[in-house]
Amino acid sequence: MKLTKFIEFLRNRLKTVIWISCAILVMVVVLDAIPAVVDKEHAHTAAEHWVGFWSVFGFTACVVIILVSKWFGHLGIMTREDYYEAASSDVTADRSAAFRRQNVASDNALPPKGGAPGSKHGHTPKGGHHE
Amino acid sequence: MNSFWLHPSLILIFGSLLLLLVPARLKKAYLFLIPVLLFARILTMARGEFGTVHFLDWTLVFGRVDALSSVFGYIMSLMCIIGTLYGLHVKDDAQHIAAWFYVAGSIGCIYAGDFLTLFLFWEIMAFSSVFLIWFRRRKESLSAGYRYLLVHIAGGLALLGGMVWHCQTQGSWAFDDSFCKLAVHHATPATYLIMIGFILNAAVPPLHAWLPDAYGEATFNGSVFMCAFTTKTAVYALCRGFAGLEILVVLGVIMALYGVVYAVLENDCRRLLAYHIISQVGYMVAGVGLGTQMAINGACAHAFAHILYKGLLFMGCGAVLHMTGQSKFTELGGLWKKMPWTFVFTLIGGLSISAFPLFSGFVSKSMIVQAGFEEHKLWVGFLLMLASAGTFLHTGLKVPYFIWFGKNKPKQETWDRAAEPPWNMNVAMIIASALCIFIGCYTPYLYKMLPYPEVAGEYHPYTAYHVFETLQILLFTGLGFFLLLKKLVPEPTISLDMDWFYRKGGRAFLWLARKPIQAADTFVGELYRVAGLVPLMVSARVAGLFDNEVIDGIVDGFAESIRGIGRRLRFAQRGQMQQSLAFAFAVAAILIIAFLLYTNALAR
Repeated sequence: MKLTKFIEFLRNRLKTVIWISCAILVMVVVLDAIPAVVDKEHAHTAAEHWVGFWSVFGFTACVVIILVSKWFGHLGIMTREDYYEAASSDVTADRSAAFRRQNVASDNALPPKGGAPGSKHGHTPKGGHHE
Repeated sequence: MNSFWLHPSLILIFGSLLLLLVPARLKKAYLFLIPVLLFARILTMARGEFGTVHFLDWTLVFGRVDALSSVFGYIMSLMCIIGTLYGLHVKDDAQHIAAWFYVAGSIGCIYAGDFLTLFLFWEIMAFSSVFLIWFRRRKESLSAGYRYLLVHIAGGLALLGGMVWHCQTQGSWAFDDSFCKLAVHHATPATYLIMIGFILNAAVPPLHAWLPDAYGEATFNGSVFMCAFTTKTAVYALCRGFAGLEILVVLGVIMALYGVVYAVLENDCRRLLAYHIISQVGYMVAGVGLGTQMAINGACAHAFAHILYKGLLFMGCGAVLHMTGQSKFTELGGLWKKMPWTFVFTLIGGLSISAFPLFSGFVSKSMIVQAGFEEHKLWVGFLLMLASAGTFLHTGLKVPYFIWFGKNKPKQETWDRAAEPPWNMNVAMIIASALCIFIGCYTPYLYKMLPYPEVAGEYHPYTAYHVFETLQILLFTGLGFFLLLKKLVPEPTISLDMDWFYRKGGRAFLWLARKPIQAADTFVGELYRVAGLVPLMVSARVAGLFDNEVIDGIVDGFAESIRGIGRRLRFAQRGQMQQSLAFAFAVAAILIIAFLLYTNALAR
């Protein structure tokens, strides 16, 4: 497929792609500094008149979001995937086991068995894919 | 009803009922036809109030067609076409029926002219959409569906309580602009209750946890519907009822940032997108709170664009889920070789949501930010800008990078299953992508539909300043992303959110029910047995004696006499039950006709 080839073409020249990207970044800041190109008359605050204000804003925003969120997440917000299941009571565990037994056909990734309820959805022309 | 007015929701409701009768070979054509009919109906609807029904003491208005409802009706019916097309190959009729009822509920809310009608359709939405979660048929989806339903029932109750209270004091069920002015400047507890009902559906924190919980767990195409309708119907209701309510600005900005923070932590791509719904709806809620014509335009335009690009993103990630069976970043990676076109479509969705120039978000989101600056609320403008950096970081970069590239290698089984999705899913994604780009490039298409087209006409998103401002923010966010890539590598975790309270709280309740309450119950039972049972037995024996001697005598006497009557009537019986019934109906019909003729004659 042509699209795959194109992506491969870019991946093989990763260094060039990175250089071009950096050049674009520099170009955007330089153009922003030229009053003839970017008219800053309608800026809302004085700070926006500084050259590259929004570049610094964007970069800082990105770093702050990542660092603050990860710090917040590691305070205990991020937890193991079976957090809600592990502590489940006997009653719910029994019920969910019973439910699993009923829905075994649609739970696994095997092609659906003929006529089983609930195995109708998710057919693709290439065979029974289930999410 | 003054004259016959076909409610657009009826097309979907009857369409979905008839779906069961359509033969299998015509089903795909039929599934395409009904949403197209719906769209055509909405395009041809004249402005005004229609479908007025007098019910008991109330006047119900089913069809209030004005500028605000038209723009929402338009995009929702359009999304119905795209969403149905996306799931066209799903052979389970029930899934299509649930989706169509859900859309019908949503469109009913949009055109509802009074509170009672609004509430009716509001509940139809909640009760039909839950099936889109259950139909995934996993253990988790069952419980996620119940949680979704319970939260929405609670929201519905708040809404109903507020409505009844409000209407008790106002003496009117009308849901219109007069209500809007009242709500904003003389807010009563009743209006706040209604607001709680609305903002729960808009997923405003702390009432938002149902959204990632449910949308991450729904079927691959169910999420495509769900991401478009519930929250945007709530945005519509807020636009209608609460434009200019100050608190919504604060809530909206909190939402916009909250979604961004949680999206960093998320490992499931569809849950990440769900958190970004919260973030994006935050812009709309803030716009409603600002309440100026520009801001309301912005909220509507952003809802319009959002339905398309978020649908597109959910379609892209849904395609990955559908084809590979995986939606977690830690289970995916390097899929560009297998699903390159899905990557391109998802990227278009990502660029649209990030408000890249030439994509739809650019022309809609900026209106809200601009309205914030114009109202001299600088903090609103800057914080929303901050959130849009986060949007690009996750949806524009993290989602495509970690699914289609990245260092992670999926399992062999996942890799083998991965392939481009069926044609109908591709076509749906192509349509949505094309619309995202079209809206971004040709602004009059969207701007002319907005509630205040003359204000929108004066707004020009493509100024050099705005383009460069956006490019700088987004491109340098991209730089930050690649520099901090190591920090962003997904971790196989889940994030605790507000649903902790009812998921763990529910467990505490169960424990309470099983341990202390049961003990108390046993104790009371024992007490009852000792103190109550013995006297009861004695009194029962006395009552038994009375029953045998006195009551039986009377009953037997009755039975005897009825048997006697029966013996005499037996001659009139003609045997067959059906004949007797037909005879009875015929007599009843003749009596009714005679009665009608008689009253008519009297009237003359």
